[in-house]
Amino acid sequence: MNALLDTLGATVIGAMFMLTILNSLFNVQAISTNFQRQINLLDQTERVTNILDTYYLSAAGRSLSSNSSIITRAKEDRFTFRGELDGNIRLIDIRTGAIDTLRNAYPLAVYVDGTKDYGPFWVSTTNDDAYDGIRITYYDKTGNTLSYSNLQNQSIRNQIRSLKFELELVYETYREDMRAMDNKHQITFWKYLTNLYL
Amino acid sequence: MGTGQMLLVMLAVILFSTILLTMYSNIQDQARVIERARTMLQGQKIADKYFQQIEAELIGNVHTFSEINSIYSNFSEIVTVNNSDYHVRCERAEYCNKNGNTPVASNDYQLIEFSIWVIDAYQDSVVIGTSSSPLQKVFADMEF
Repeated sequence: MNALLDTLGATVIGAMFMLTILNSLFNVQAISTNFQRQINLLDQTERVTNILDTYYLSAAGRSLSSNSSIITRAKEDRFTFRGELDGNIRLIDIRTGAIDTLRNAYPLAVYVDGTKDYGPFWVSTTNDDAYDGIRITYYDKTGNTLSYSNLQNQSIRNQIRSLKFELELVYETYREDMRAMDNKHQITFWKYLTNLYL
Repeated sequence: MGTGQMLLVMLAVILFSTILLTMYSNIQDQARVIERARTMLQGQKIADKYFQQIEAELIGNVHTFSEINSIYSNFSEIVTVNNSDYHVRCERAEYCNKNGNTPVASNDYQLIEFSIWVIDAYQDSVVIGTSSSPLQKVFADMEF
């Protein structure tokens, strides 16, 4: 009887020990995967911001008279402007679409002449700064902030000379039952529209 | 279960715990590296903002070349991004030649250097550009 009890005790302790090992290893693997995703997100964010900055936003007002209406829409989450891109005057629209309920994120994309040209990239629905994944702030020549309500007027939009882009890109987490949040990456960059300074 | 067996099980638990603690410690180190990389990328974007601003203000005649020199000769500012305070300091605004060498007799080119430091989410100090290795750019006086 004693031998049977010893065997049962050893089995129980051994099983608990094995479960602890396997659970720990799985958790470590899950965390490592999340880290890899975070690094990928960092890399992707850098690519997205660079292309937005150097390719699309640099085209604003290029080959156009400063008297014309270059910027046609300037909202918190949408910026539409005209300029020369790849040899032709285009209408470039940087905007978020409707929320994707499955991903719980907004798609951010760039449309050129109404056709999707770049994207989508998923931006978060909420963050600590209480904006929805993207916030564009507009400034005039002297660096004063232009309010969104005033920017409904074309005459005020013509005063825009620089922007601040605040983005929070998001990537689904590997496991949601570990209190792990989605991988997110916030980045802020500025763009001075030099063509409009000329 | 005998005392010897029990001790062996305890030893195995202790050894495994040590390995696990080391693994978590390494993961924590990786998290810090990622956070540092994120902070440094943001810092570079802040420095780029100032370089863009100077270029735009020169193109748009908002400031003259000498005014830029005067403004940035003694310039420091705190930029708050994502609840972190980035301390921006202009290390040097000095006339130079087209290769950035100083001192020179003419005022045709100007070397501007920035350094930035910030306390990151792990309360570590992150430096992006230092006084000895700053983020730098040479600007030309387009009116000369």
